[in-house]
Amino acid sequence: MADIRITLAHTDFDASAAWSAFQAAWPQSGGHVAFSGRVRGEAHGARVLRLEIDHYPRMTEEGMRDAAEAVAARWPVDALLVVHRVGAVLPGEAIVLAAAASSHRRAAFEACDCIMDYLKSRAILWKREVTETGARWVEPRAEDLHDLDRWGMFGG
Amino acid sequence: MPMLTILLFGRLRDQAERGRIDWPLEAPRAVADIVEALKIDWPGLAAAMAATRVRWALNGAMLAEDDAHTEAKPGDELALLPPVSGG
Repeated sequence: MADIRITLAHTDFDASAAWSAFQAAWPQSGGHVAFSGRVRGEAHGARVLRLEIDHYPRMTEEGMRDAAEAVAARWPVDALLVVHRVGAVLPGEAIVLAAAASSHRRAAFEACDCIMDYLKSRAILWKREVTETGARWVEPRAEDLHDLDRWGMFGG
Repeated sequence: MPMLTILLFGRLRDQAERGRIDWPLEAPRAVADIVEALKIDWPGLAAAMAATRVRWALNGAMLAEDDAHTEAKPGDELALLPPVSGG
């Protein structure tokens, strides 16, 4: 039974500290993989002022947990960690940290990759990008959906 | 009066300039019918919903995209979910 930790962070979080703590918590696993995402400073040639991430408290965290459980059922991981920001996130701030611990290198890479694809295109989150030239709601690109399709999980 | 809580997210929330609509609902009614009636009362939402793919969730459970029969009861919570994006 994998240890699954899901956190929705309402304020800036220290992704490096969370990653260090995760590795320290699972020293026997042998392999740790993480992806950390931060808000870019520029989008479509315009300076980014912030991202605004909307969520549905009743569904968002539970959906992430279900997804992580499906990932843990598919790959032999000891632990999965997801920290995702909600609210207003500034350029340079961490928006997501996903990490997997496993005694199998390939499993750790794929579990982390898979949960990131879920977060990108299926998690119950809405991302509004505010730049100096205007604001837009971000939707998954064709390549994001293609990435998700690789796993045959989380519906079409 | 018995109400259905309708929650709006993302671009739908922007369009309606609110995240919640309290919808009078006296008796159970198919979600698909409720959404059609909502579009008549809120033309801006109808336009936004026509331009994008919107999923429905009733009391926190996602409904199938072609669900025509599931009924909402007074006191229920119906969420309209435009395309999601995170990470």
